[in-house]
Amino acid sequence: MVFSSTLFVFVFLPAVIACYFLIPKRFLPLRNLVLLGFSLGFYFLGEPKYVLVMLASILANYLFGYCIGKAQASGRTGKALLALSVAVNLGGLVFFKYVPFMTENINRLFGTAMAIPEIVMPIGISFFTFQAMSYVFDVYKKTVAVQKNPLNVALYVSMFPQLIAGPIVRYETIANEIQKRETNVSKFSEGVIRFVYGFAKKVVLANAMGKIADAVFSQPVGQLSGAVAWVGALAYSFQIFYDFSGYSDMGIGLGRMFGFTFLENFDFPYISKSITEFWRRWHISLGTWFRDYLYIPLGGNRAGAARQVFNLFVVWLLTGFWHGAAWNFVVWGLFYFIILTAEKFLLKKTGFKNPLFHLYALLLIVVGWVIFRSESMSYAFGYLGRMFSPAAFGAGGGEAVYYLREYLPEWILAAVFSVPAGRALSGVASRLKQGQAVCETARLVFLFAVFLIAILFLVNSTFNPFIYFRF
Amino acid sequence: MKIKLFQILTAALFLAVIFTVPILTKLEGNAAFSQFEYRELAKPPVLEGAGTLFDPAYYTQWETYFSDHVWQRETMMALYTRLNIGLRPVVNDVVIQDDLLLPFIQFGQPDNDDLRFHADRMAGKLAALNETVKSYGGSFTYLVVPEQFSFFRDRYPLYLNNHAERLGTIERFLSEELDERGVDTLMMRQVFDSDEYYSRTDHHFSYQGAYFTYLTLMEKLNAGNHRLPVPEDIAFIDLENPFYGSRNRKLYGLYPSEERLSYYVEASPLPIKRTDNGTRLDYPVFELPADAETPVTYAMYMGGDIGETVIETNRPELPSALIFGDSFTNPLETFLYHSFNETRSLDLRYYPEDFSVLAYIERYRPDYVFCMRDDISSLSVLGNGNIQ
Repeated sequence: MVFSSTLFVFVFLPAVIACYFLIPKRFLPLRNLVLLGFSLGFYFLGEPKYVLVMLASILANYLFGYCIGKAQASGRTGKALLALSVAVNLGGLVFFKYVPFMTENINRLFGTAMAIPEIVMPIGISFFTFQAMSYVFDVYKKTVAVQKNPLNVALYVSMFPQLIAGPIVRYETIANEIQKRETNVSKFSEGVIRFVYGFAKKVVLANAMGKIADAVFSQPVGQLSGAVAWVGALAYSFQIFYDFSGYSDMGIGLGRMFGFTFLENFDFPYISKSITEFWRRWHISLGTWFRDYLYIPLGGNRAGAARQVFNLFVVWLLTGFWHGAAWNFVVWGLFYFIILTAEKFLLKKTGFKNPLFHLYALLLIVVGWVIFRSESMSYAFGYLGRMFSPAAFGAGGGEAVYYLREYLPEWILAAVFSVPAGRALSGVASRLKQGQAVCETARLVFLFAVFLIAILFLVNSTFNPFIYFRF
Repeated sequence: MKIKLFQILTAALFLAVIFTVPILTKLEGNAAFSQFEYRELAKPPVLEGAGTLFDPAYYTQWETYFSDHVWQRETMMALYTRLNIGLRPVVNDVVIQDDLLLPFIQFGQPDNDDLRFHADRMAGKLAALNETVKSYGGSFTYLVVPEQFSFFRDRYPLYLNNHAERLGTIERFLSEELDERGVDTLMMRQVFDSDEYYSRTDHHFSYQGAYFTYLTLMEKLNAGNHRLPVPEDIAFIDLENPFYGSRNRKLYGLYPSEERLSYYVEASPLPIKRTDNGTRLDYPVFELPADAETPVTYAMYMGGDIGETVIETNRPELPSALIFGDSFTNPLETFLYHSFNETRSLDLRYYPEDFSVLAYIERYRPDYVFCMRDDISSLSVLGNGNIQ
């Protein structure tokens, strides 16, 4: 089940809200139990058998946290247990996600003919594994107390607002909220606003851009004109942003309804003037996870230039792998490693002040998305060749015109809302003391117009999977 | 409005929407069929034992079921369509021109080798049919009529694909292959010379187009030694009823159209005995609406697509005929029976895959056999191309 489905919006969500809020505030553990039950149910409805994998992950990480806490209480570091927890977590991830890929490549490299196992990857395994690991790391670092109640650990890992596609919630950010949080009309309405706009981003913008991107990327690369290749690349750039940030908005909004405050996951990444800045604005929860749990423990930028480059290499290699078991994801990760290294060592003095850096960043981001979206590296190279080869611009203009004209409203909205336009408007509105009521009425009307239009789009669609489901 | 009131209203309205819809969905009851989508709506999934509970497909089916039956689904889809008409050049895969609805065609280049292969294969099947008919002294004609978008291919905006190259190649290859095999062919695209022969909002030709096709066929046959009568005292009447063309149906009938279906009346109607799939029918060839308000569809002609129809006219001096094909044959059949003692029509889509139309022909030995396909389907060996 996905958030942008009629079953979720009109059956699951009202059911969980009703069951949760019917319980008085003072019975928070009971409310947590309801949330846990619905979260496990949410996952079960999509992956009936693999809910056991998630439960196993929860149990294992609960025990690791408990044991590390015990070890540290008795004067030991708990490092061995930490290493074991990493091995177990990553082992599970490798098994479900990477074994077929590894087998295929071993066969290719060594000429062997091992059977490629057909392993079904549980949805969201990359997200909930990293989330569970975050709990163990935070216990080890002593930034949080050991959570003695396994149900609270289960709730943290499985909470449906962020279970399948993030944001990757760090345990330390919500540890207190699990045991003590407030729900009120103010938070609920904030959550509604966030959810509705995220919902609209997904079903109106992401899905429209997805239709263009899917149509273009399904064509043999030799048939692509330069214009169509650019349209497809830009469409995918918008699709992945609105799909992912929309889902994050919905997750953050849903969390807020139930009293949780999740950290932001996107901060208008397409206004970046450097790739360094881009990765501070894009999928923030993943970037900070790798920074705090891998880059810094490896030494970060404090062990000399050569070591820093090595650390960056490891982080971006694994970032690529995290996104998928295919070489194009690895190349995508290393693509950013090269650019980030160059920016740190060659371009840093520029301060990225020249406005042309914005174009520089956008160009590299779009190129990166082409690599990311392509089914293979040969396709990616071919596609990029069509984008940058003057000879490819001869024919095929009609198809590009169609995608631009047919989806003109979505292109305009996608471009406008990829920059902080809404924030600017809110800023202007909030400075108008007179007419505040008018502004708030307009906001309310606008919000529900957006919600109803998004529902129309949803009902008219049939199937709209999230991109990040394969992670 | 104070902040608190705004927040209360935000929460209340949101809850009202998400709680009201499922309640009203439950109260509304389930429709079985969608008239506009022309398909059966999903039924509730069946729990076939405990194992089903662990099958993700079971829950996906629930999602599909709920999506198909959500409260006011067709109203919302119609509203969505209304929102988009005027905003986009293509809505629900329909290209909206000023007075014309055409299908949106995906971009892509035709594979000429593939088309040649299919033309050769289809021609082989038609040649085999031709030989079968000739073996007992009969006559076979293959009619290819343009699909509506093919006829209006020049009316597409320049930036859209109108399949012109593909259609031209199909026509050329098929003609070459059929000529090589001596199969008598009538390519109606070379004959149609007026827009009035085609519908503006449906994928078929108009009733005038069907009549023109019938006359052209008879003229061709009568140019030889044949003397097939054609009706001379018919008067065409336009129905007042709104017409739901197939393209407009995809737009929920929201495209304003003055287009109407026609039928004819005769001063001296020819008495006929009509049997559909073995059952005698009362109405001859038009399934006319009971009043002037009920919308009509192309199924008005002959009652739509039927597996087998036999029309007997008790004129043993005239030859017999068999026609088979898709829905383009339906309006043609309303004229065709005038020219023959017995007219049989088949729609092979209503027969099992192993049905042999050649065996059927051998059994009944119609003097004239016609196969009629639209050009975009003319190479397909499925449905009415399943000639064996």
